[in-house]
Amino acid sequence: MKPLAGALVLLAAVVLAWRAAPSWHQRHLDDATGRPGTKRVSCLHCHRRVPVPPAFDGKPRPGPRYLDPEGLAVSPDGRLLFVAAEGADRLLEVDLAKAGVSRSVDIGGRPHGVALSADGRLLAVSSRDLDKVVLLDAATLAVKREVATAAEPLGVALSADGRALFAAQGAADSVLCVRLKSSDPPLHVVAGREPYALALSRDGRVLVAANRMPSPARTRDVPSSELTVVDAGQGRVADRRRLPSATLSEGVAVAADGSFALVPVLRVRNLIPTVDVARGGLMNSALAFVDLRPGGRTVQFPLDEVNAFFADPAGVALAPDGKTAFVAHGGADVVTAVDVAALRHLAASLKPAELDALQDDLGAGERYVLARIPTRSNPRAMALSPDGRRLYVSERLADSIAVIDAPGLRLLDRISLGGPETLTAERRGARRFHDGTATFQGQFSCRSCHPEGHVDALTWDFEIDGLGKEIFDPISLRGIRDTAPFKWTGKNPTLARQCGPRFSRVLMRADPFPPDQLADLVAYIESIPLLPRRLHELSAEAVERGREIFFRKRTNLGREIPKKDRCSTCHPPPLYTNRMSADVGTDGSFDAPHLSGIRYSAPYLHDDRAASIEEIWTLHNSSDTHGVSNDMNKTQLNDLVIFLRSL
Amino acid sequence: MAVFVGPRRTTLLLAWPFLMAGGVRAEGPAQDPFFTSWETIGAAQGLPSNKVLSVLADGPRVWAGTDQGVALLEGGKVRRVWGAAEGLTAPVAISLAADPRTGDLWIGTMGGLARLSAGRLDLFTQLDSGLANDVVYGVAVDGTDVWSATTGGISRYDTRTGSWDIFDNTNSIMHEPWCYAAAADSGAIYFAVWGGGLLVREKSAGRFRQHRDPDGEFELDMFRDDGLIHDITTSVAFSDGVLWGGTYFGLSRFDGRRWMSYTKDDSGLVGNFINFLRTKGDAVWIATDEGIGRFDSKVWHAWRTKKDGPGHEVVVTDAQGVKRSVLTETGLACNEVYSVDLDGRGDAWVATAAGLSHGFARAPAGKKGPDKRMKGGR
Amino acid sequence: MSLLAVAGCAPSAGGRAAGLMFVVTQVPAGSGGLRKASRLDLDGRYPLGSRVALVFAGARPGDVRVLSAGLASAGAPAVSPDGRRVLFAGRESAESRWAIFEVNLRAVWGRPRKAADLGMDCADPAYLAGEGIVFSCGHKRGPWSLYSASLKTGGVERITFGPGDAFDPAPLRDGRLLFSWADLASGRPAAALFVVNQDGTWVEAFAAAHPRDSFARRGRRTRDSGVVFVSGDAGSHGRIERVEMRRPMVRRRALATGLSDARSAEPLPDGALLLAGRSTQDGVFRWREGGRLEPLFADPRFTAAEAVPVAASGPLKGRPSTVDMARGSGTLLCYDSNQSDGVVGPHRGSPKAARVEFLAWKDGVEAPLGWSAVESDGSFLVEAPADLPIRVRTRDFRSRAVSTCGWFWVRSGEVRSCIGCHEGHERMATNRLIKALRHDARRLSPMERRDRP
Repeated sequence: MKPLAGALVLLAAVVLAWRAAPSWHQRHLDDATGRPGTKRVSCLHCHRRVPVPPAFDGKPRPGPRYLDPEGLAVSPDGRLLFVAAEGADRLLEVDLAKAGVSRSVDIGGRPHGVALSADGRLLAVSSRDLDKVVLLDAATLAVKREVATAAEPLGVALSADGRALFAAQGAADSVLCVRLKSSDPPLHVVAGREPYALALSRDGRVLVAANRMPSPARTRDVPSSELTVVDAGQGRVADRRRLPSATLSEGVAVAADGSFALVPVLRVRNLIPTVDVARGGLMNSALAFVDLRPGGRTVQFPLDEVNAFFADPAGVALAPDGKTAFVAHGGADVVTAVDVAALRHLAASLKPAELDALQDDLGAGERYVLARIPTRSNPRAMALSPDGRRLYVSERLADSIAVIDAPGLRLLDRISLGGPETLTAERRGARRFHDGTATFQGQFSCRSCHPEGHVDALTWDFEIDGLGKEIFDPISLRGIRDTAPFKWTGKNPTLARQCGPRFSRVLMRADPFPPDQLADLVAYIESIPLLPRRLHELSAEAVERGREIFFRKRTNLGREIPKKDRCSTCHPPPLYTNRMSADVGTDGSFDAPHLSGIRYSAPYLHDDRAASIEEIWTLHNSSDTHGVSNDMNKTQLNDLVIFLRSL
Repeated sequence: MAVFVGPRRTTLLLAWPFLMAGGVRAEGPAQDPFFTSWETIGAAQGLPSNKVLSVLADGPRVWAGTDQGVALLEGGKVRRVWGAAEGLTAPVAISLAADPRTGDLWIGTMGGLARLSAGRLDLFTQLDSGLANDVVYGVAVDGTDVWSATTGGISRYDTRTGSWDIFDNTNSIMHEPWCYAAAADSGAIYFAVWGGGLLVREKSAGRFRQHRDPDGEFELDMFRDDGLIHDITTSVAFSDGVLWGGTYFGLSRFDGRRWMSYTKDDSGLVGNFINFLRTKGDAVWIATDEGIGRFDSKVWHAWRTKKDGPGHEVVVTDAQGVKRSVLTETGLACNEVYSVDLDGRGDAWVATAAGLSHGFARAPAGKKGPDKRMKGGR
Repeated sequence: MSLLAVAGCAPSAGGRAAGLMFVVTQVPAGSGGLRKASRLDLDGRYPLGSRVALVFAGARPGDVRVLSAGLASAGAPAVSPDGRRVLFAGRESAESRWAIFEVNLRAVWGRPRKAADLGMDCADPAYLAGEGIVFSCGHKRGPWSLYSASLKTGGVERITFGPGDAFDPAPLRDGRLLFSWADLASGRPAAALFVVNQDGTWVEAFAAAHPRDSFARRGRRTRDSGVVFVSGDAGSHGRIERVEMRRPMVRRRALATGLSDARSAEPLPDGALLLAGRSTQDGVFRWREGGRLEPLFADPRFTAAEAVPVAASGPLKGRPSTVDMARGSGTLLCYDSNQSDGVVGPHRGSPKAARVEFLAWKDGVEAPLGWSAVESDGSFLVEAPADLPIRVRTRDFRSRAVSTCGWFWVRSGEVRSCIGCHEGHERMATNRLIKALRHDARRLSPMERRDRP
């Protein structure tokens, strides 16, 4: 009898618990969020161990080390090619005669840009995660000196005599100018947003910096990015040229006499609803011709065609005679050869209204596109041999260098850099991410709105949500693993859903990814690391004060802050998101975004209405609906911002 | 007739004929900066406004900040103007500082801190950045740091990292948050704190110390030369090891050991209400509401429009306190002076409430008669 | 007598065409059908005895495998992307309707099976991505429209709704459909090449549209980014022309194939063209630009009406459908109705548009549907009737007509945009905020009596 009674009691207890569990669960959720009626989520939604998200921290990363070649420089005698292997943290020396890597040296911190002095003796390589430029003896590859930079040095340039070094400091919005033989402190010249690539005229007088992001970023203004022109001798900005509706400039070339510059750009149409992709509905690739003389014109010459697009223009190279330019299209696996004389003639001869019309004319390319040269996966940086006969192209996701006959406009050869031969799911996914052929007519790739997995600082009007109604900016994918659900509205429970059939219908406007490709794409997105935190740039005391404010439970006057209004409720560590939706007074209920790395992802909120972190509260929290902030003084707000910048 | 004051009246009476006979002329900037020839540039010549609140000479360029925006002058002519339409949303440009290395101009306005760099204007406000307050009375550039003296405390903007720090009475030794001026030197940054004396930021130690009026009296200076003459400071400058503090009630000088105070009653100070100080070499230029002055720790110069009738005068007070005054045909636009600077040729540029006054270090050829550009000098 | 030829085996033909297999429509010689029949007169185009046959290059006249065995007449073949199946139009008897049949080339003994029969004559089938097919159907007096169908589910959907006949569909690499659309307004036979999505959305002109003075048919994409088509009045001597994908409206030229009467051109895997027509003899030929016409097959008993290569051409792309039948209407957004190419659209100096009228084609006449206001920046956003041939006419503030666009349609749930009012086919939009987006899509206001034509 006793065992039976015990079993019955146990059964009754189980039944009672089963019946009580849902209401208990709901009460628990409501209490945890401070919001009654919180949408039910599983226990593991909150109570789980979250792996540390991947991050670039300057240390070697696990797994196969793909080389990811980026910046290139050719020796003056044309025999050697120096390649920054960003993925392997190394600089490679390629013997062009033997078509193979002859030597390599460890640089660390994802080497990106490479420059060589005119005499071929001094090499400069930027280490983007370690915030330095490494100067090496080109003959021995011995490190001669390390120059500290501001955040994220990318493109580098050396004066012909090797006495001046320039570095585009991408996360610091400035260009570094250093006199290597002088004790003068380095100059940090303010550029546009995210200076990426540099080019120095042959006479060393004009330095041009291409900036990647549009600036300033105000939602629903016509975006524009800047081409910064620096007097290299003085280290002062001489001019700033605006490139309207242009973004993601990652390459620049300047004429030998400094009279013009060429900048590949994405010309976007983000103010128009994404009704369709056809005829450049979202964007087109273009080559901006910038006449650097006073009063000179700037024209964005389309590189695409009526029924074919060549996504993600990246690097550009200008032949020594200035007659031909080459543009690498990272999303189309193609290099476009352009007749520069034709560009100059058009820029000089057409009236302003005609030039305006030409910039949006897909038939214009016939007048200056000479050839399309196919490459392997994700061509990015390029370098011409000093005699202009050979063009070397980094095929980043193929770990190889394409060798192109520049006068003949054809592919000659390919040099394997020796990366791993097997392709992991992440690697295949990376190729898918950077490949525009999955979208209608190849107009754009995932990367076009998420460069390096990040943001494009633009807002888009997604037609599917109603014309002119739902304006959203692309969320940063860095560190996004484990932060489901996805989309600003939190509608997509998985990345596979986010990038699946609905995405293909509303944005790609083409067939959805097959399941295997979708799985690879998800694997890659989940692997995108966060950038270094760069805590040394922030006041440790302010970070601590800000942390206290972030986790505070009472206002300055001692009043208790309701749980739903505490920062840490919706943004708890380690991911700084509770992965639930809330209405914070910004016209809708949105999934709490993860805050890791937000210092790099201005502007903010779902429609970029906050240009800076401060504005989240100074302009868009008048009723304390997005946390309680109106009792704070400016110093407290500043401390909170510094804390958030430290995440 | 010149008006003579001071203890050596007899000497000056004897000197008077000599002065009148020989005329008075500027003998060059290194000698005796008399600045007897002036012109005034105002709205009619292209300035956004006649009320000029700040001025800065930067190489061949002169920047003038007015209550309607900033103007760039080259060769004495207005070349370009930035106002509300160009992005200075509250275009009252109170303070100016140039980054000598990059050429960027920093503008303190009533609506935030602006940076003008190669024609691009970027505005930082208290709403969109870590700027303590939008009213930026003083700005100073120190390497890659830009210091702002605001009515809500001090802000430091690290242009290298994009980080902001705020220092106010809640997290530093500042007595008050309202700051009027900032000046940078190799070892320290100096601030004038309204009601809080002078604040010194020691760069190497990263900490503050302050100079206060020891007697703490607001109404009078109880003890002469006991310290800073008054806690209501408006301006600060540092040069050659000498710290200068401008207040509502006179000027103070500190050489590291000894304080000395000056008022218009006991020195050649042109006016007690000091708006601005700027050091040039071993001298300090003092902008007041009664004209502009210069003091090299020995000799005072004061330029002002005459109070009793038209005309201008230069008053020189020597180390013994003897004053001499010279009438000039041209002079300041008015006595309400907000700022001053000297350009590379030694010319003086004076920001006044009635225009930008330009004092020629060497009188231009043919400029004998009245300045026709601004009739009456006002 | 027909020979049974197993796919994959080929008699020795020698030369570059060795191993080349194709499907040809053989029309009995002397029947005169091809010369006299209009495009959509299937009985005339493929008279009794017309057949679809599988042929190897170099085969003797009788060495063919008749794929349409058992049918009274057949024609208009299309080969699947994997090269294993063939669609064609056929009728079982002289009295039967024309339907769509499919044959599996690997089934040696198989008879053609009916793939689609809509209760009216159907022809010109083509394969689509995802086991779909498209074809043209209509009654003898027209008009003919395109229909898509699923080979899996059998579901059928009409996808073109314009006045005039739509025929000769063929898939493009980007997932759209190329087709010919005959103009009914010019008073003489004329047809241009248009493109449309596989769900019938986003119809727009592709090539040979301005001026529309030719009869462009059988448009087919080539492997080198071109489209070849047959140009010539319906049923008469044709010539092969080519447009370039990069500028199809502008870069158009005739190909000097050497044929005096070209009837079809299809791309071959090696970049050459497979042609059906007549030079010194009637038959099937291989031709490459700059090269000579290479005869592949001829049978004096028949005229070769069309020839399509049998080869794997790679998977077809599709485009996800945006049709929502529950909506019942579509949306039309125009960015700037004052923007024009100045040639076909409003000329420079034309008055600005103040309102737009929507007109429908009903029972052979143009009928007004309603009107809507135009914003000051030239934009308008309107709820447009779905699945109906419509056109838009802009009027100035005095109600004078400024411009009238060509016929088109919107599908239910489709959101369609126009950059301007005939802005030029190569023009992209300007990046700016559109005023019409400040409000929801407006419903058309009824036409007032004075506005009606």
